[in-house]
Amino acid sequence: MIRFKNIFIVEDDPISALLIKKSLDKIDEFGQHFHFENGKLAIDGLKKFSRKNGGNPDLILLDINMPIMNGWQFLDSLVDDPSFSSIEIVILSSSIDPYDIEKSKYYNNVSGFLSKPLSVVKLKKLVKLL
Amino acid sequence: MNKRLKKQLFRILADDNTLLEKLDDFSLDNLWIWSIPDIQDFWVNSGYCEMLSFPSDEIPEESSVLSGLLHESDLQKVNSAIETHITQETPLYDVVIRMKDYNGVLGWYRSRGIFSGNPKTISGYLIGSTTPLASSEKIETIFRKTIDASAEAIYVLVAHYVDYKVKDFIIRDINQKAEVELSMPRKDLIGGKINELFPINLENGYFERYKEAFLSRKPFRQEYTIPEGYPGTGDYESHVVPYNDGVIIYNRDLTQLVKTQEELEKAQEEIEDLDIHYQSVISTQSVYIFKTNIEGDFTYINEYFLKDFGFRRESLLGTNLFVTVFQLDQEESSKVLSKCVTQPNIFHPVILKTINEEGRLISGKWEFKGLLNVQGNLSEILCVGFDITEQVEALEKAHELISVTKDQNERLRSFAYIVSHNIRSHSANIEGLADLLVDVVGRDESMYLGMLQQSAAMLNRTINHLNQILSIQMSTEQLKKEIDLKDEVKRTLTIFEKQITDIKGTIKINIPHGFVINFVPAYIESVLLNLISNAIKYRQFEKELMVKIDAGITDGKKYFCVADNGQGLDLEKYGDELFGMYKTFHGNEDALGFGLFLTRSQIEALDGRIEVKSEVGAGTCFKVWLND
Repeated sequence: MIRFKNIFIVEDDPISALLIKKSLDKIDEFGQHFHFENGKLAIDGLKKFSRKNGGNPDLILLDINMPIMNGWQFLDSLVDDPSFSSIEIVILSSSIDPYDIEKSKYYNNVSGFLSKPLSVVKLKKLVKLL
Repeated sequence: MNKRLKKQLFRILADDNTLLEKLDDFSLDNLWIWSIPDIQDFWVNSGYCEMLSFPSDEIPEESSVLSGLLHESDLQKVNSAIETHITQETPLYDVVIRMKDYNGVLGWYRSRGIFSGNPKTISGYLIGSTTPLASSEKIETIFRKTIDASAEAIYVLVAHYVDYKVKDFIIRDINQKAEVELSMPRKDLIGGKINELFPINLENGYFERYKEAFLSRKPFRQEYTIPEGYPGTGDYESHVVPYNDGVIIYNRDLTQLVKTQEELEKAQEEIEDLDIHYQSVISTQSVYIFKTNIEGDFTYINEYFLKDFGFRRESLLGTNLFVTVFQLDQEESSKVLSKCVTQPNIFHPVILKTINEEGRLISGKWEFKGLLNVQGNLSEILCVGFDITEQVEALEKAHELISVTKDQNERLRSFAYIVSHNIRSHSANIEGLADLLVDVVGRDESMYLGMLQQSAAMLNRTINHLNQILSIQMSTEQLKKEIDLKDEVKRTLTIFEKQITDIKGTIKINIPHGFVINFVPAYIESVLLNLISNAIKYRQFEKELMVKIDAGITDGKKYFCVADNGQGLDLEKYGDELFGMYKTFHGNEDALGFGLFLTRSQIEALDGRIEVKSEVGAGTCFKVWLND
């Protein structure tokens, strides 16, 4: 059964993005996904999505280190817009910097922090948590 | 009254007109006439009786009544004055005496008279007049104060007559200094005869000389010595001054004088010694000392300053400190000088640079102080200083080191960031891709894939470790928390519970209740985890494991120990490398060689220390000292 119908993947690294997509495809709870290469593109994507579908995606998997607009900047601009404040966001980062993990706790809409590489096992655990 | 004498008086006056003229010079108010040598036989007029407050109806008939009014101490004086007047044929008998009046009040009077008769046989009459002297008490008080204030011993001696010849001197008065000199109280001396009190006067002929001075009316000066055993032992210089009734002796204590002079000389020497001492202290001190006038011109420079800087005193004295010594710091030195002017009497510290004769830069820590003279005006500037060149250089070096360390720390930080983000993302990709490949590759290649997966996992773990170590350096202080060590140990042990039961191991915890340490929670967890897992990992398989964990305080420092009865380590062989990264010693496959390195890093990051004691086959004990 599909629980997360529309998923945004915000990730600049193509290999990482590929691994995420492959993992998502292996799990029934996840539906279609959209890939954006940085935060700026993702914001535009969100706006386009809501115009077309009249709502928000069910989950955003967000990388931290990206060019143009990184993960934190993306989160900051979401906070400013109330229409996006209810989207569930999981940070997906290769970072093992404890500072990044601490920082993510300050964003209310961030409901998880997963370290790369993303595996089917990790994703299944996440589904249980959300 | 003695009518006979009265008649005699008139007869004499009538016979001798010159006598009346002479008497007229003083007064005829209180007239009297004495017969000589029997001076108890005399007559006085009514004015005389009035002067002594006798009522007009009580004029005394007996001359003894009047003679009894003379103060007994003055009797001798009167006698001697008469003798002098008659025998020496002086113009006047003139004496100051004390008499009681009718009411018994003692007063001072001046009696003057002229002898009429035969001086050879000393027989005839003394005719004269007596006048009262005012405020005698006051005079006496002033007299007493004056003579007591004298630094010389003063003896007032009255000639003592026997048959009109001076046989001795009676002490009429002495001053305080004389009391001290003789060590006898005044009251015991006054009235005493000097030849009786001090026989030495006769023995040494002093009495004869006093007598000669008295009779010749010529003062003289003598030096004499009172030998030991007599009152007033010592050397004296004596002034003997004759007066009406006797002599006054002024004694200057030469012994005391010499002693005082010696003391003065000694004190002077001591002052000079002290001066030399201070001079040498100032010159040999390893501090710079100089003085300038208010303008900053050198007036004094100590030896050390000259020696250390290689300056010559002659070329520096008189020059201005801004121009010579402190030309490098003119602004600073003039600032401190004006501070001395506005706030004198306190030290104003300043660091000033000077180039010495050899051209070396010397940094001095100086203290300037404005000195006030006796009038309270600023008169000169004192300056004390010492060489702090080494300290200044060390400080500069330390600053340099700090900046280098800061740079390195910065680089380490960016390295940590790169490890944490960039390298890590690639290794994560490799791991992910390897997992993905498992689905698609054939059986033949799966072995290689397995190896790739393992390599990727190892790489990931290494990167993780590396990152942990790098992040240990970052601000551990804020992360410190109070941790109950016993609780923490128990919590850690739950992780090993099953393992310990399986191997039938025993853990003994001997940590005092409420033993609290200040540590980063994640670190203490990691340290305990590492030490306990090591104890389990390197146990002796033929023996049941026993781990003791205890804690305490030694020399004010908290510590805890994890001791086991395991395989132990040859510390002589491995001691240096035990805490190194990627060092393994037991050939154990699980060993990563990372645990103890991390443990030590975490402990040292909190200024703690880890020690190890070990013996092969007996066990190992890790002791962690906390900076707490």
